[in-house]
Amino acid sequence: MAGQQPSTREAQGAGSRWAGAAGYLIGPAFLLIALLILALPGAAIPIQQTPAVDRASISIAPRRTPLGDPPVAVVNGMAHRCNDCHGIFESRENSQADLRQHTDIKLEHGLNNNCYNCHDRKDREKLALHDGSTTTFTHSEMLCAQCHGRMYRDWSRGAHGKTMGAWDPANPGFHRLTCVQCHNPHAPMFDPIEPLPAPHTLRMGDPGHGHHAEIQKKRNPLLQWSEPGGHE
Amino acid sequence: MSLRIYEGKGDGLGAACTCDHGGSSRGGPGARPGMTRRSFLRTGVGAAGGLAAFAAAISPLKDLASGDVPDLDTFLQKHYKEMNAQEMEAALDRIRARVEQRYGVRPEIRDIKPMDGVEFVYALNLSRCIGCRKCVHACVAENNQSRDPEIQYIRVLEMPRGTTDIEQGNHHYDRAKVPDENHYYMPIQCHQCANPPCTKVCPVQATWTEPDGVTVVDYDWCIGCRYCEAACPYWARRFNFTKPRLASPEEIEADPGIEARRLNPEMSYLSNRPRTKGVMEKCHFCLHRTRTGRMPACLEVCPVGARKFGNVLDPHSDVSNILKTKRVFVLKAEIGTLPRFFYYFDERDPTAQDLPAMEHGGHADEPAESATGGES
Repeated sequence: MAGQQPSTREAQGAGSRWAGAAGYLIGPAFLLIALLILALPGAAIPIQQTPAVDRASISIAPRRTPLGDPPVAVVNGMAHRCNDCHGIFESRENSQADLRQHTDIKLEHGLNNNCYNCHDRKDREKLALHDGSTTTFTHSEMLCAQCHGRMYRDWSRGAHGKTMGAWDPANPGFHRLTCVQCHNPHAPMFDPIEPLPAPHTLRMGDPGHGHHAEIQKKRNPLLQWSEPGGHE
Repeated sequence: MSLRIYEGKGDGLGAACTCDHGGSSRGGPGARPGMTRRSFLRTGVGAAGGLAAFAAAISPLKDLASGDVPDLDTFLQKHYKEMNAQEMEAALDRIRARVEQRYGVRPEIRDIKPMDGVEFVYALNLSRCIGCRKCVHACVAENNQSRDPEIQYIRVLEMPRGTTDIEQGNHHYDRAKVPDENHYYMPIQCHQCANPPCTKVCPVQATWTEPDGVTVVDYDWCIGCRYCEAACPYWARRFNFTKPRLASPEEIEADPGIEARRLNPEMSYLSNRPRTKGVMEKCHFCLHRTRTGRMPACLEVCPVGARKFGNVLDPHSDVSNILKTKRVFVLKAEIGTLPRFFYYFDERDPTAQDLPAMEHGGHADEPAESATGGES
């Protein structure tokens, strides 16, 4: 009888004591559930201490400040124009190995290991091009282009390098950083850098396997309570 | 109802009135003729249970702070597309007041409209990306994302060389220095699809694609159902499970003004204005910057120039040149979402030394190596 529907019981009248007992239980059941919900601590979303990121690490300044025209270099703690010295002293046909000055310069530019491949021997405030002409330090990209033609092509199209200021080429703010604003011409390869902190977000992909799974489990608050290898 | 049904048969006392009048007649004090000890207990326990259940259901309200409850005007605010200029200005004024109250900073918020003849496209050079995550954190700083809990629009995957299967990528690489020579790095953010699955599933049309190709969210219209998050094949949408905070409680305790300093006061209605608990957010190509001609924050911070942005309708823009001259691909092209976010590789330099992956089983056709040998 306990399984009968209420409408059937209403029609039958007597003989529904079991069903009546079930009716008594509805109130206490609600009460119990309500107390349980109230007594439980709120389902706090686990929040992890996330590392703060320094503003300086996300600076948008170019990597380098290249020399101007005329170039002014700091040598032995004092600012000089190149020809202050090189206008007086005869320059030797030298290589990096026997430099007495500019020893802070490490020339790591592949096969390009001679100062005068790029620097003009007569006027040290100019750069020498392969055809014998010179260019200024502020227009060094044509010098680079002599060997790195493909990169120059990509750079002038915007596929290589960095365009800053504006996305519209017609906008006056639109400008491309030159080669030497990112690359050190003496050692153009970028050194590896320290990455900024990894994510600590709640959902960040399948934990994967092995070492990565352990790292993610450590970082993902929701995974801390789940079974090893479980998905979220 | 069900309580009354069983009246009059167990004890027979209430038969005179219960059958004709409703259950309401039984609610009075015990003086009523139909009320017995048993029926009083039944009613009383039922009512108490119901009240307790109701209290439990509304108990989250006890955690509400004064600023959490929207005022009537905010509550009645229309959908972004239905607001006229005066209503939008009033909405912006309310946002200004709210932000000033919460952070002590008066924001410069506007509703910046899309520009005519502009469709934004992003391109990313995977040969250059070194996985430094500067874009991730510049984006967070620019767009006022929650720091605690952490919300980030950009994910950077560390990928083994020789595959573009993003299932093999790892978000959690933790190296002293990047890049690692055995890996390449693939940042993923909203692809601003031309055929976006996320906007189709929104039950309230709180997210849509603007004429310049940017998919946006009206944070005041979003109901937080997270359908769009489930629909996005690129995992580009983020949900505010809690009230977003620009600093952790410890940081705020140590320095109460830290949130105000971290807040970027340059805002627009559809982009980086502060969000609330329970709404969805996503990358919007920094539209408060890009719609005024500037570059997105992630691009400007990139230390290797891997990121490219521009107007694809302009044949002389950087992105047009890249689409014309580079071999680009999109993620999950087969599902037909038509992303406006393109990846490309540089040709391999024929004079470069073999990369490590070539030594342990890499293929000549792997993407990082996909050079056309006779290139200039």
